[in-house]
This record gives sequence, structure tokens and C-alpha cells, in this order.
Amino acid sequence: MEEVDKIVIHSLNVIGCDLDEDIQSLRQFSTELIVSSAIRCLKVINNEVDLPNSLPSGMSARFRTGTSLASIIQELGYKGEIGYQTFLYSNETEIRKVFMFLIDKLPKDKVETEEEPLGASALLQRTISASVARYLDSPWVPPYLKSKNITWRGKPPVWQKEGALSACKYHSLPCKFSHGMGDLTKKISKEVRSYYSESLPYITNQTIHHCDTAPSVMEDLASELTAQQEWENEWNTIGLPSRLSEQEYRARKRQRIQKRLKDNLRSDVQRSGDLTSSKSAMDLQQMIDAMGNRSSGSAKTKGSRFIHTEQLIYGKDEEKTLSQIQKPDIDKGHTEEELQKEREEDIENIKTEYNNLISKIDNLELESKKLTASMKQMEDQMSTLLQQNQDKEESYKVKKRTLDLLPDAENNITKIQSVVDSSAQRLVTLANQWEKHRAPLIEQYRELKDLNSKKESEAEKKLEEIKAFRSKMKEVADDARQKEELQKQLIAEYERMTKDVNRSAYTKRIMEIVSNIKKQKDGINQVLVDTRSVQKEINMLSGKLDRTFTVTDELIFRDAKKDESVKKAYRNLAALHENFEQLIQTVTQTGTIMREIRELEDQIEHESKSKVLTNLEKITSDYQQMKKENSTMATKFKQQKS
Amino acid sequence: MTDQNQRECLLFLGKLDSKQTKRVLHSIVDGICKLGPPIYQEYGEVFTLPEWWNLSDTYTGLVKQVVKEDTTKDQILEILSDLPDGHKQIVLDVISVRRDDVRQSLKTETSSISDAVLTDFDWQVKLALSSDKIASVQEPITSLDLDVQSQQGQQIHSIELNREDLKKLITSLEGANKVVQQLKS
Repeated sequence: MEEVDKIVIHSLNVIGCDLDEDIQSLRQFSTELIVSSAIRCLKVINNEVDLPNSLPSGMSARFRTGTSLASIIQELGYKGEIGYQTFLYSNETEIRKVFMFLIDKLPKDKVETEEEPLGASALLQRTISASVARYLDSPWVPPYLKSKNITWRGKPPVWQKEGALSACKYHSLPCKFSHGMGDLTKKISKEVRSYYSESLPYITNQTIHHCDTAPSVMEDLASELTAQQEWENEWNTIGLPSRLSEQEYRARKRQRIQKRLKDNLRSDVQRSGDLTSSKSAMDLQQMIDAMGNRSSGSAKTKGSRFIHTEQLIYGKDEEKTLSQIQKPDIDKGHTEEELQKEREEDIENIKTEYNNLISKIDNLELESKKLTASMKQMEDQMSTLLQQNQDKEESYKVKKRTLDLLPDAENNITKIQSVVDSSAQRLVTLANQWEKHRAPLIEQYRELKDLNSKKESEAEKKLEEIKAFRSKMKEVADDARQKEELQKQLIAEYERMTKDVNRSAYTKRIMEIVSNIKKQKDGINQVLVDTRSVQKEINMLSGKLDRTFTVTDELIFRDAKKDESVKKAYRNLAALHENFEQLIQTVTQTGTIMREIRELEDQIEHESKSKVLTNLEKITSDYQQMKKENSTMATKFKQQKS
Repeated sequence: MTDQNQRECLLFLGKLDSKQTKRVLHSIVDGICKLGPPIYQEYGEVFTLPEWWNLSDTYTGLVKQVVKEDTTKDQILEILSDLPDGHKQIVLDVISVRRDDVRQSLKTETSSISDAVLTDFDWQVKLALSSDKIASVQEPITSLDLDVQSQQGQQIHSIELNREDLKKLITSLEGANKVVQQLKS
């Protein structure tokens, strides 16, 4: 019964009853506690129950509360006997029954929602709020009392970091590990080994500040990992379909990149060349403008060849203009207006000259273009002529030969004929031979082609398979990772849960109880079988007794007719039989009486359990109180009446 | 540094015994790989300070040059011709063991040619639970520190990003990564 009590008390605590920690069983419950917790349960089950939270002091009010409580519980579907006395004059077993019923009726959905696995964000929120609450609860401690901000406190105490004083930057430095040590079968060279064992500093000594060690290592590993992942990704998407081995693929890619780099560099160089020339062209333009506007303009330009030639052309003009401008400067007798006029004239002159020059240049350019075009034409013509010439020479040679053969025409004709015949013959034989060779070769070629295509398709299939496997592998890995995460989360949840509900203990206990019950059932069955066999034996014996008695009775009766002494024996037998019958009867009677006694004892025990005496005392005192209340009421009533 | 001078500097190594030689060479290589420079105090009894400077400079230059030009063993031996044989072997060993490291660090140096180079980064995620105006904000904020190495020295640029900003940053970084992947073999 203790288990049941524990569960009941735990559930009552969960719904918010204030129970002392030293209350371990229902026997320790006082009347007030019973009533208040029953009311609490009812309120959780049905929010509209209108009852005071604790037992009132007035006797009649108590009585009313008890009856209404009982009626509400009966309405909920309680099958046992219940009334005000169940609560006010409590009996442990009845109370237990009532509470078990009430707790069974408690709403369950709330509990179910709690059991669902929470999301990661909810967990995060919870941990945040927990740690914030912990900080709020703990008093402030000056920083110099903590070493590196680490403290040991809380309830239960844990190591924790407070504040950000000793936080250090996540700063990584390059660091060096020994590589290839995992594979023992691969030999590493002597020099490398000696380097690793003697000269390579420990990873903790490689950074200047100790707090950089962890970031450095993590950074290194992370970069390695990401590189590996990227490579895997690329290999899956591009590498595999290209059907090259890994090294080949890498080599090819490297080649391609190098080529691309080379091309890029070359085009950049060219472009930069273009750029400088265009820049200089712009400079040129500026220079021309300057010359048009200002009297003296000698812009310095970075030189490409083009510019130099341009400068050569323009340079002379410049000098000319300069001299033209300087001339009027020499004779200074003229007035300002004249000077102005002259200048304008000069400018006009220069402009016209400039325009002339420009048009001339254009013309020249056109001409040069024409000339180059005609040159090309000529070249073409020449090449065609050369071709013709060659052809003609060829034909001339053939003709000359035939002419040489002409004098001895017939002989030569026959000779040629024979030559032609023999060559034709040879051609035919060769063709035959070729045919002979060709047929098997073609056959072979076809076979090989078939084989190749088959192989190709097989390879394609295999490739597809590999791809499928790879994707599957990835999926499975992802799945496993997810499951692991879920497991972690669930474990965390479980750890939190076990603190308040030791479910497993309960289930274990239940299993034990069930097995106990089974054992007891077996024992009962055994006993039943035993009693049945005993009954059978009894029946058999009594039958035997009857039969032996009748047989002896008959025998003695027959003899009794002849002998007097036997008559006496017969009488004795009858008496004996009767006596024994009586004896058996008494034995059975004692049995029944014993059983009755046991039953009565049980009853006594049961009655004594229900605290009759104390309850009686309570009832009498309550009755007295009630009487008193009644009398006071009556006096009040009378007073009012009078 | 003239050739003659360099030869003399190379010979300083002969003053050390083989164990010390190995150590000093490894620490010089470590200095090239940014794992911390060699420390003079450890060899203060053997060298004067100028000697030490010459030695470390010379060997740093030598190692860099050897790795850069893929010099063969015989060529290295020729450069080191005046050293005792044991020391030669040690120099060869150190170079052969650390060749990849040095190459890697030289590559890194070469690839960071722009004015400012990102050397490291750090991030923190903070959850703003509430503010002075709003009781429940519940907004995660990332603060990203970028360590940038420029000509002015190491600088830290801190950026605070909310969820969308971070997403934008990550997508652009992923785009950059794609380009880098194409150029990786």
C-alpha cells in the first residue's frame, strides 16, 4: 500500500497541494488535509466546483461541506459508499479508494504535452532563463575573488563563468601537426620521423598565448574539413560523370586553370597596351585642342610610336605658328587694335591651314588604304598566276614525255599496254587480297564495337549506381546525425524528467506486483487442487467405511443368529459405528466454528482499523458542539421572537 | 650582400653542434611559416648579435630561394660546399622535410598582394531578449570581427548583422567560394 500512497502524495503535490515532506502515507493525513486536498483535486478536475479551500470551523458548515463533497464525487462516477463521514471521520482504506478515484480522474492532456520532445529553440530558451535566474539569485562577488571569472555556486552548485572579464578573442594562428601517423602500415621517411619526434614543438607551445591554442587547432581542422567537403561535392557533381580517376581529374583541372591563367594574363597585357595607346590618343586630342586655343602649347606625352609620328607632323606646324606669332611681337609700334586684328587674322590663317592639313591627312589615309587594297589584289593575282604557271609546267612535262615516246610508237604502246595490264592484274589481286583481309577485320571491328558499346552502357549503369549509392550514403549519414541529435535532446529531456517522476521504478514495481500476483494465483490453484484431492480421499474413505461396515454388519448378523456372544459383538459394533459418526460430525462442526472464528477475527480487525473509538469520541464531541450550537441558535431565535 | 659575405654567413652554422643546428634551422623555417621567429637568447653564448642576424637572414634567404627555384640536392650541396658534411646533411634534411610548408607559406604570401588582406575572423551570436522599450525582442544578432592585415598593421573591423544581413553575406560568400572552387585543383 505504500507505493499507492506515494503515488497519491506525489500527484497531490503536482496539482499544488501543500503537503509536508514527512508525510509518507495516507494514515498521516488529518481531516483538514484530506478535505482540502480532495477539494483541490475536484477543482483541478472541474473548475466550476464551488467549495471553500479549507475546512470551516463551524460544525454544521463542516457537515455541509462533507455532504456536498461526497455528492460531487458521486456525480463524477464514484461507485463505492461515500458520505460526509468518509471525510470527517476518516477511514484509511476508504480515503485511499476515494483519492485513487480522484487522481484517476485528473485531466491527462497536460501531462501528455509535457512528454513531447521540445524543439531546440525551446530548450535554448529554457537554459537561458535558467542561467539568468541563477545569476539573479546569486549575490554579486567582486572580480578579484574569482579566478578567471569562474565560480562554483548555485543550487546544486556548478562551475560557471560570470561576466566577460577573462573572455579572450577567438584568434587563430597557423599551426603544424604531424601528418600520416594514423596509418601504421605506411612508412614515413627517417628525416620526417626525426623531425616529428625531435624538432616539432608541442601544439600547446606553438602559439604565443595559450588561449590561442584551441582556436588554432579548431580552425585548422575546420578548414581541412571544409576543403574535404567541397572536394567531395565537386567530385560528386562534376568529377564522377567525367569518368576519370581522381588524379587524372585533378591534373586535367590544373592544366585547364593554368591555361586560363595564361590566357587571362596575355589578354590583360594586350588590353593594357590598348589602354596606354588610347590614353595617348586622348592626350593627342588634348594637345590639338590646346594648340587651337592657346598660342603656345607643348604638352608632354608618353610616347608610343604613333604619337611620335604625329608629333613629327605637327611639330613643324607648331614652329611655324610660333614664328608667325613672334613676328608681330618684334615690331612693337602697332596699337592694341591692330595687334588684335592681326592676331585674329593669324588665328584664321592657322585654322584654315589646320583644316587643310586635316583634309590632306584624310586624303592621304584614304590613298594609303586604297594602295594597300590594290597591293593585296596584286598579291592574289600573282599567286593565281604562279599556280597557273605550275600547272602548265606539269602539263608540259607530261606532254614532253609522250612526245619522246612517239618515234617508236608501236613498241612503246605495247609496252605501256603490258604495263597497264600487269598493273591492272596486280590491282585485281590486291583488291582480292584486301577483300580477304577486310572481311574478318570488319567482323572484328563490329564485335569490338558491340563490346565497347556494351561496356559503355555497363559503365553508365555503374556510374548511376555509384551516384545513387553516394546520395544514399549522404542521406543515411544525415539521418543518423539527425537521430543522434534527437537522441541527445531526448536524453537531456529524460534526465530532467527523472528528477520528479521515477517512472521506471513504478513500472518495475508494477511488474513485480504482477509477478507476485501470478505466484499467488499459482499457490491458490495448488491449494485448491490439494483440497479437492483431500475431499476425494475423504469421500473414498467414507465409502470404504460404509462398505466394510455393511459387510461386517452382514457377517456378524448372520453369525449372531447362531451365537449369543456374537450378538453382543454386533451390538457393540453398532454402538461403535454410531459413536464414530458422532465423532466425525463434531470434527466437521469444529471446522466450521473455527472458520467462523477466523471470519469474526477478521471483522474485528477491520473494525478496529476504522478507529471506531476515536471516531466515536469525535462524533460525540461534534454532537455536543452541534447541540450547543443548536441551543445558542434556539436562544437567539427566541430572543428575536420576543 | 656579396657572394663572399654570404659564404661567410653560411659558415656560422659550423659553430653549432648537430643537435643545435637542427633546432636553429627548424626555427628559421618556422619563422618563414609564421610559426614564431627563432629566438636569439637560446644561442646567445655562441653568436654575437650581428652574427646571429646574418646567420638567420642568410638561411632564411637560402631556404626561400631553394624552395622557390626547386633547387636540386647537388646544387644545394654546391652552395653549402664549405660546411662540414654532417651539417650539410642536416640542412638537406630540414629542407626536404619542410619544403611543402615553406612552399605553402610563400604561396600565401604571394596571393595576399592586395592592400588589405583578411587574415582571421571571429563571430558571436547574441540573443537580444528584450530592450528598454520592448519586453520581448528575441532577436538573434551576429557580431562579426574581421581581422584585416593592411600596411598600417593589424586592424579589427567589427560588424553587427541581423538575420537578413547575415544571409546576404553568406550567399555572397558562397558565390565567391564557387569561383574559388573552380580555380582549385
